[in-house]
Amino acid sequence: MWEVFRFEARYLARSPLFLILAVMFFLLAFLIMASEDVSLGGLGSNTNLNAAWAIVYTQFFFSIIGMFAAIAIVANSITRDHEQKTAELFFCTGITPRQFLLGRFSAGMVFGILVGAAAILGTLVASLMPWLDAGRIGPFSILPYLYSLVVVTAPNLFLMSAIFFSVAALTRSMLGAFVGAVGFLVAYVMINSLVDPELIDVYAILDPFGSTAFGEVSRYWTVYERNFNLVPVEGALLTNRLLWLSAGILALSLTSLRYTFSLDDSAFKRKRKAKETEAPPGLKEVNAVSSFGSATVRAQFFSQVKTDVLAIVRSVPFWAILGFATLNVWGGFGSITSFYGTELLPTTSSMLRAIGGAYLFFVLLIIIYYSGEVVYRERSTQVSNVIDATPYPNGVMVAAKVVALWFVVAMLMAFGMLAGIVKQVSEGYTNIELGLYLYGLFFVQGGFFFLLATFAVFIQVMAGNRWSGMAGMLLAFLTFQALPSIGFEHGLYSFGTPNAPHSDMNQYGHFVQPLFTFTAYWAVFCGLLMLLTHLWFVRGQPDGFAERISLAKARLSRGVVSTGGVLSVVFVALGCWIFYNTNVVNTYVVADQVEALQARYEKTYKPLELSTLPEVIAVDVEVDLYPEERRLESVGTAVLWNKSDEVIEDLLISTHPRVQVKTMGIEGSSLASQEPEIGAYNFKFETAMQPGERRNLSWDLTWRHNGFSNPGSSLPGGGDNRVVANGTFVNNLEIMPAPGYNSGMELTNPNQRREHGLEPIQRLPKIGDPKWLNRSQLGLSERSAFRVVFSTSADQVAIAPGYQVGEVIERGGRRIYTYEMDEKIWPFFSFVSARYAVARDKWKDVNIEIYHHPEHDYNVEPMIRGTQKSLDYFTQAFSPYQYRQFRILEFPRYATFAQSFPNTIPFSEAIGFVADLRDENALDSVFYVTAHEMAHQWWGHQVAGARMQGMTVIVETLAQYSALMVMEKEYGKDKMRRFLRYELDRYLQARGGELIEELPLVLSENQAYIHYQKGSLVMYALKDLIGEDKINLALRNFLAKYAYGTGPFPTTLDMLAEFRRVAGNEHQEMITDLFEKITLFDLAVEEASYTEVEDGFEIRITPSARKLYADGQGLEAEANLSAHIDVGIFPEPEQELDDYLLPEPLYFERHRITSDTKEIIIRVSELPHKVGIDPYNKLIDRNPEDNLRTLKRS
Amino acid sequence: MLNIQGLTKTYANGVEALKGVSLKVPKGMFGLLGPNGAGKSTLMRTVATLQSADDGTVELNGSDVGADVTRLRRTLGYLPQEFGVYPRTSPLAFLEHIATLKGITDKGDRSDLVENLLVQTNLWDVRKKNMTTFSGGMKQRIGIAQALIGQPELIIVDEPTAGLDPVERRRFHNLLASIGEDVVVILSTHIVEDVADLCTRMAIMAGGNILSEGEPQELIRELEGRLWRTVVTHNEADRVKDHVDVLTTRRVAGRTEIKTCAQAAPIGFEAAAPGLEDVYFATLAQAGFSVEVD
Repeated sequence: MWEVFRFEARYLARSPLFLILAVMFFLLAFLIMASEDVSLGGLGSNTNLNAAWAIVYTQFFFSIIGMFAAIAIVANSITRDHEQKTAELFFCTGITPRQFLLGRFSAGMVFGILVGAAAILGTLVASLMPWLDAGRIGPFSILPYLYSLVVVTAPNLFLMSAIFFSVAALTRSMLGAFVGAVGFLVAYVMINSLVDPELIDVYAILDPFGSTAFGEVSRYWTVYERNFNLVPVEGALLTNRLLWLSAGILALSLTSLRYTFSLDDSAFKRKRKAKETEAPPGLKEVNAVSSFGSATVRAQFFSQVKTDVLAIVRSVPFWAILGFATLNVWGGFGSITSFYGTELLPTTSSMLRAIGGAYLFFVLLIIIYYSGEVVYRERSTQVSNVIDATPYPNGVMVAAKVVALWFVVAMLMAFGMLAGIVKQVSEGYTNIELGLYLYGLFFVQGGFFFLLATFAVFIQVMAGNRWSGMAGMLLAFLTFQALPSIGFEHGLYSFGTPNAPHSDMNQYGHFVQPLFTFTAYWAVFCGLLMLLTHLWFVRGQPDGFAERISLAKARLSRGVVSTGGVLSVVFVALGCWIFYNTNVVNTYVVADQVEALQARYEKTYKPLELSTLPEVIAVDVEVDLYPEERRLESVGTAVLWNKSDEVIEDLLISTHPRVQVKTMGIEGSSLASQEPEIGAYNFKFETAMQPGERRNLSWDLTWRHNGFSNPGSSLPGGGDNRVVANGTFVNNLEIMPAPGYNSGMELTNPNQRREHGLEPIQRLPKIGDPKWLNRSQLGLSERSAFRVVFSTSADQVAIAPGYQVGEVIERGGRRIYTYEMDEKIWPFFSFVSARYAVARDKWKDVNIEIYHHPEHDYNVEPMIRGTQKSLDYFTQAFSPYQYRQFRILEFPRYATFAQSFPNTIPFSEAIGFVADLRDENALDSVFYVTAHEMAHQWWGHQVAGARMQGMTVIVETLAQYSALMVMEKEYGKDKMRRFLRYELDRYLQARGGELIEELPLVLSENQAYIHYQKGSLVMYALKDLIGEDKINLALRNFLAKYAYGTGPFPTTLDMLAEFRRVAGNEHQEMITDLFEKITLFDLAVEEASYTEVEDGFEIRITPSARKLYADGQGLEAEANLSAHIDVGIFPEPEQELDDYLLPEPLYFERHRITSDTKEIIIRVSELPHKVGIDPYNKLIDRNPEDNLRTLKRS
Repeated sequence: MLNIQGLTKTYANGVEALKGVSLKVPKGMFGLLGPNGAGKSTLMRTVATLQSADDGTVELNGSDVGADVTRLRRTLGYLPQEFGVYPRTSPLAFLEHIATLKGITDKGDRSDLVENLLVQTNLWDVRKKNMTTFSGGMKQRIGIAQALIGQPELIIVDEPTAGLDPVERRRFHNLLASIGEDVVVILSTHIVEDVADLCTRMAIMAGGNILSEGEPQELIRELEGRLWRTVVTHNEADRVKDHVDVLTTRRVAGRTEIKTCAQAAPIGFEAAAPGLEDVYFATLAQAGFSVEVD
């Protein structure tokens, strides 16, 4: 056996297969760590680049794809002798089959593991590279690498080698092993996406790669833990590793028992039925004459296409990839959820997005692999020796190859479409837009694939053999990916077509023009490549470069030259047209320039942030929207009031960088300096603005899109998809000037800031900072009067905050609306225009209007109901509603949020209007979002926090609470539990993705996972603790003090003071833990049993309870626990319950529990089944599952 | 008639495969005999337009092939020495495809033609089977079937019988023999029997040159009276070899037969009746190519 091993090892050490694989793995691992542009999903966030967790996670990925490398090596080891017909030699040397088998296997496995180790080495070497961001590199430790090797790479590759070596040994076929492996991977991915969360513990043991066990333990790890901790090899992970090691050994043992040296093709003999033979017909009189005309060329072409296509569709890997891709698409359909797990209706538009996301990888795979297959099919099979001497024109072959590859791509698209339609039909959705499918898949999303296929044929032909060709394609692909990172972003040389998202409201809208232009441009380019391909395509057996050149010259016919000439002219013309659009009509900027501009803006103007600003107290504006031109004119006046007691000498006015300022001025001032590209205009007052003085700021601005800009290039401030043909949605910060520094322009990514020499960002001022107490969240302290004359095209409805004044005027193909607000509102206005249908209803005397895309009437009812129920609750619990009207406006899915303006809520088509609420068990996310946005009319519009830490808590956390309460009234407590469980999971997971540091709730610096997710949990826990009435009382008091205030503005501490005031003394500590610390509870029932006693059952519970305080990086320290915590006893449910639900408890009380509580004894009268400490997971606990335990009878 | 004039070819690796080959091939079956590496396949590929020569011309029926390769391809049937078939494809589909490429556009005609060929080549029963599993003989039959498509004026068969068992070879000979006499057929081979059985004219090629050319019977006649043989023991053979320029040695029933070529019989030798094989060896020996087996 040692002999066989040495022989095989020597063979492998010199084999190109091993070398190529090892280099590939090394490089890929190196790039994932060392380049910003190559990344693995899940590795974002603020964790160190060389975080122990990230290193191990990366190696899981490599051990899964490494499976194919290992199989290639071991399966080759066992099948090589059969394929090369050298088996006889080996089989008569006196080596026993077992020695042969094990020797070959161990050598192959060692080299397979070496390939995996190359990836580990790649990661290690990359972590030492000097250009890495030093701020994200932790101290070097060899441990995670060794851990990866021992726990991840070696066991996984051993297992995969053993299984598929066995398959290869028994089937005597590489293909058998590969098909098995693909099938295995498909099943693995399927199971991964389908596995029931309830069974995750079982699956953690059964997952052959062990990543589930690893993932489950580290699921809620914080940044700190990810940086420094390794998942201990114990429990599920240890069991898993041992189980699968044994499985590998078992597979090998069984194989060595069955394996013999026979030369049969397979250990599994096939039986074939003898077919009846048909008598050959007699010879016919045939006069088959050759003719050579254009019909012949066509016939030759189609015959060649057919031959190539059949060769592909008859190959097993093609169906494997296709099946895999279709499964992936199917899986992708499941992930098109909108909010809180609510699925979207399977509209064709949604299907298209799901297909696009799931397909890219497979299409690339197919193109890269099959381009080599198709181009070299004749040569690799030596059919070329026959075919090349037949009288087809040279062009036929190249054209046929390209079209055959197109056909394959088209088949992939067709399968995606079919999957989409099946999904739609199976969900009972019948609005199948076939035209949209075809247009979207075959042109908008798939057009590029056809170009790429053409390009691949070119690369293959130029490369000379299929391996170099595939390497060339990979290289080209990586180059196109890498270009933007070094500042080359122009579409003129980045081979590709622009993205074009579909919206039901705006269709493909303004994306169509650049898409067509770039597609045409690259199509012509590919045409030119095809001419080169035609010249260079090998026919016959030319010897050497000189002969290729002379052949190419011979093929350079007049037709080729003139076609090339025409194509070149068209190519250049299209290029000029693109350049004119992207660089002349629009400004071409690369991401780095935009960042530099933003950095410069911050450096120049940030010092002005705290200078005295006048308040905007009245706005009168005329907005003229020309949707079909994508142009908007804004002409207006704002009254500025110097509310302070200081004189104002100069004033920075900010505009959106996209607008063109025709005129802008402030009374008594002149423009001292301006930087229109970042929207900064510095005015100097000739006579200083005195305290109490009012002056007019007037403007005439245009927002317009001329032609199209470079795909992917965006100006600072974005705004590419705001003014559109149908569904314009802009706000005043975009189309009006605003006094003061625009902090929205600041770079937030820590790495980008470092690169541009900026200090780490201070996301918000510290809480209580007196300089900021007089500025609200918007940076202002005064509300403003508002009037707008808003015109749009005749088929659209234009809506802005306020009440419509007078009738709509129809004039000159335009509709003119006038809106006016009869009380002062925050100067935060939306301007929306689209072709709408309207649904109207009422709550008392408040008009409710839902403006929606005519086809999107699915969820209008829950929106209206959500509005009514919210108004019921909020007016009773908090304060009166300040407006006589409430409107929801649908806007296209280019953004996916809803935003609350005064009496007006633009709501994205992607999150509410097409949500699928037909499942009664699902959360009614539309109802919920409506209630949440409605609540902002109180939290945000009636009261706003001071612009500092915690400000978003006052707005968002209170809106979450308000919506929760409305939701609980409407749908009951059970739904709430599911909702909160969802929030708990999202909060705990998001902590690991924190970019800077986690803060306690009251100090949240606009951190969504804190003010939404943790906010919900904390408010619900508080409600549970002190009761809804007390919270609402506290909130009424809070509103009474601060509603409609003009400064100083409240902070979360003021809010908290109200809570503390109404809560009893006994709850103060818990309030501190919930709001002012990052507190984690670790509650569990360690043991629980019951005994039957007189008239009932006595239950003894051994609890385990700890309280931990975490710092901003997630480092935990144990704290003294002493709290009133729910203890519940539950009977066996009479019927099966949904996830996270429990039957009505037999016993439910709060117990005082400390870290020292040893035992709790409870008596109940009915037979108990489960016991739980904080069974409803009201407290934040990283292991929520172990709070419940099934009772044993003692 | 195929007229080859002064064809030379030197490969990029320095091998001189053709050193000015000139050959006139009339209609009928023409055998091109030569050892492996003689340059036969290079010559065949050049004539079949798959390769270009450094110098020299090829004319078919008076028109220059190099000037218009397509024209030759339209009238060419070519069975290369080595060729493959599409994987997972049946003879029927393969032949249909070749027939289309050869310009037979009429569907009915094409399928009749393919049917006929399948019957003629005895592949009818397996016409829908995957060709990848076929034996060498079956593959060669498909090869000849495709070469016959399109009423070719020039048929080139390069080493068609190498590796075939006797039955398959016989079958293959019969197929070749059925080709009409109106067509130029070049049979390139290193197997003497192929030529002896089938060809009306032949040439012997080695080292990139044509060594001799003529009708087989005529070439045999030229050797008559110059070929001598003796049968000795193995030990004696070595002694004989010291005195005589041995043409061939061969074992016959435990003893060794030695043939030599000379104007007069060496001592101990008797006259031998020459066959084509002797002609082949004599020609090679004369040109200085070692042919001795032991």
